[in-house]
Amino acid sequence: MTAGSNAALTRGRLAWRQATHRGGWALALWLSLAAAIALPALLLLLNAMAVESGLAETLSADGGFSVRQTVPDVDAFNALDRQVSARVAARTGDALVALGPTATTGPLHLVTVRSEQAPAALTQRTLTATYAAHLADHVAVVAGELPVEGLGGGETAVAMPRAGADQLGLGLSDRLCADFTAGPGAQARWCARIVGLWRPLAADDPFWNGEVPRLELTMGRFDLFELAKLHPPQAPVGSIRYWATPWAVGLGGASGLAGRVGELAADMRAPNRQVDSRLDRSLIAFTARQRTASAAIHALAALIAVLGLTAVALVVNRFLAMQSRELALLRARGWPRGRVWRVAFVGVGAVGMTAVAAAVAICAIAAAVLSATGSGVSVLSLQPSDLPGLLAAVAAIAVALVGLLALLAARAVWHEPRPSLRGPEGRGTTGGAAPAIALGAVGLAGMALPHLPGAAAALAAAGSEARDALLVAPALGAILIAAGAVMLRPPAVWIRGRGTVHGELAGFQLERRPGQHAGAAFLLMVASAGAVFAALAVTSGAAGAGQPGLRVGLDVAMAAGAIGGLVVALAGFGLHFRGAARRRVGEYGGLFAHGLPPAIVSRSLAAEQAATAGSALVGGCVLGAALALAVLPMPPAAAVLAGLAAVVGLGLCAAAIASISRRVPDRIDPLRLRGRA
Amino acid sequence: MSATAPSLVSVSGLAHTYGVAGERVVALRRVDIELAAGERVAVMGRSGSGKTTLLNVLAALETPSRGRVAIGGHDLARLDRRRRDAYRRDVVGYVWQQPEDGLLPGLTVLENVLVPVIGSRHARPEDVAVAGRLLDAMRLGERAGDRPARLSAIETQRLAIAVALANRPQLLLADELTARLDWGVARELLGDLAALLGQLGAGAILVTHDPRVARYVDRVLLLRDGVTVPAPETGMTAGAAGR
Repeated sequence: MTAGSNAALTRGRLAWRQATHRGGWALALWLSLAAAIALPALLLLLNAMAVESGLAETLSADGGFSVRQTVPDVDAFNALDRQVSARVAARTGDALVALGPTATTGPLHLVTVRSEQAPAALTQRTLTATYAAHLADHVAVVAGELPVEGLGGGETAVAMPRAGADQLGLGLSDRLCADFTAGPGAQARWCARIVGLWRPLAADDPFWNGEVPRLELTMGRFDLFELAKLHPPQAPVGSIRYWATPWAVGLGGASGLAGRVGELAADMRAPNRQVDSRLDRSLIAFTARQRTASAAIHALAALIAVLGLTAVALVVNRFLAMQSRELALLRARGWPRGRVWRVAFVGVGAVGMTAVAAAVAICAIAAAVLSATGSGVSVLSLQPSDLPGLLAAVAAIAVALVGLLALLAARAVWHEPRPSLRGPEGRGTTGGAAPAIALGAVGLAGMALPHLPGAAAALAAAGSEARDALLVAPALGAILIAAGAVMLRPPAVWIRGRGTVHGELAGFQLERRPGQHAGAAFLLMVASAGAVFAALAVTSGAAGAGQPGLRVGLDVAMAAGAIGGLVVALAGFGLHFRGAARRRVGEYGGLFAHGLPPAIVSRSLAAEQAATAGSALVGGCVLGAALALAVLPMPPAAAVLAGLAAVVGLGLCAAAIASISRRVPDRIDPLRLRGRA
Repeated sequence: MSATAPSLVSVSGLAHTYGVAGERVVALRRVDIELAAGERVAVMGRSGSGKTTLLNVLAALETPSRGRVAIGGHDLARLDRRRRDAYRRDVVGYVWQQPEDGLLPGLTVLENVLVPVIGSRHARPEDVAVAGRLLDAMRLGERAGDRPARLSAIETQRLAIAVALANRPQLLLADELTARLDWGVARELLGDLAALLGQLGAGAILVTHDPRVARYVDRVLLLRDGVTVPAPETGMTAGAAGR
């Protein structure tokens, strides 16, 4: 025995070798598993990114809530702050973040600067006196310092924006004075010294409420109300300001917060008080658009998840069928059934584990690329609260895949080995009319669920998880209808060229084993339904106007789902018919030697493929349109046109499949395949 | 063979039928075989006489329809699934008519020999050593790291024998060992097999068309239309076979 060949064989190594020594099929298995996980996970990730980005956009534009009221003195100002803070906290918890109270008075007309008469250009300008709590957190001091709260003294210490100081020709340490009418017939002079210049840390800071002040003298709270005693033209106005941030609101809290903010605004209104907020109306509008977009993405994700599971089932079935002799051999050598099952399961499971890593990488790369392109959808907008739902969905898909692999592996080793070690030939799924009709009826009920009386109220009352589950009911209904249609579909009817040898041969094959192409037909039907649905969702304006993040997220998710689904379906379709071609060549191989032209077999298989693809694509298009009607707002004329364009596109796709179908069998050499068929 | 050697195989009144395309096929009508431990028998007969079916029944790949089949103390008609697994694993080794049917193409030659071993437990270093000695005995020591696809026809047959004997079974069942070989290499193979069986103390039932195989076994049984017919003993031993 040669050195180096004495490593002991383990069952794990045997399982890995079994799974990987047929490289092409192992790759197909890996790709199907990666797609089955990555596609639905990516759609759900895009949904979360789009919705959170849309929420951030909404709150960035309309996230403010402020209460303004005239406050004659510092005690009234403090009382207003306490009152508003208490009610905001009681109504909204920590969903609204305090920006700090502010008070303003003025206008101030400068009469002297640096103890000299102010130039005419300066006297025509007016300044505002402002106290802003937490100013130091939002500015950078570029010279001097910010005034110290309540220092008092002979002259007031003020600071001002550097941009404003430059505009007015003022500088650090300048002494400014303004005159007031201090009561009937009395004149008063107010003087201040500039002790600091600042600039804003960020111009888009909600603290500035959309506009950074320039001609403003900021000072301490007590100094401002001392100034107010001089009776400037405008009495001091206190403003208690809040801002809703995505981190504090969260997607799940947006809908509830809209209602609470509305109640708070009504609660705070008073004759001498002004409540400024568009937050409740914006949140309500956003929530409506978000639900429509999320419903569309969830529906497509459900279709794609089932599509992926079906593709994996087809590939794994074929993969294990190719190992059937070897698995039977292990049983014939006395391996217990459970141990052989573990070899089969661990092999495909190990391939699956690497596919999971690839799927995670695909999702991460796609999210990073989308974030980097400045599309308005960013992975940075995701909140920690988004992760449990995403992980639960991915875990559910992973569990379904593991269960599927375990089941298929069990089926592969269940029977006692035949002496020939050959596995029984599968007949494909077949079903009678009764189960098909039952599936269709349940499917129709699922599709109609959102439109049943009381469904809207139930949706509104349901929690976000329950709502999401309810919103995928139409998609699950469509899947059941597709399954029923595949079972009922009379494929032989779709055969073209009946009366010719190849047409009769194709009809004979489909009548002999009507369910043999059911898996491939189901794949194409679901994928085409998803593509039509996605086209209608994009063109129907489901995301609404004025929400770039939501819109981009929906469009990208629909495109990714539709294209990914079609690619998976076409790959699965091709693999299925490749295997069918091998079986046909094996079946008719002996007849080739007796003069049967291989082209007849090729054409008959092409006719089977065209019949399967044609019926699946037509059924899928109808199903996709029905799903769009069930899930999306009634599409406008443009959406109908887009749907028709999608149907034409899928028709071209069918023609391409038929064309490929005719060529692929011709490339298969009967002499090379007879032994392997 | 000693007349007092304990019985390894005791088959009496065996009949077996199986279904093909809805039709019942009577493959074995009445088979009687007695085989002592370590004894080697050739079963000869025409095509369709039931030779392969007999091997399948003896390998517990098919359950006998009627009659008594006891091998190594196991009544094959009464084995539950667990005992049948143990029987296939520990009592018999099988060489299929197409020897590659008994091999896993994704494993090396050495790993194929270890496959029967790890069906019941983890492979130990001494198992690797034993497998290596089996391969040496089958003149495959230099091919231990190769895949079966790279082996010649005779090497594949030798590997199939080594795999069948990996668990030191009491009985080797081989279907047409020499059918694909010219007599020169077949003779060499049969000599090596006889020597190895002698070392292991295992019995063998070799199904064959080739009457020359009879020179390498203790007895010949004829199978005619599913019925065993006694035939004269060959009088050949492993030692004689080697000459």
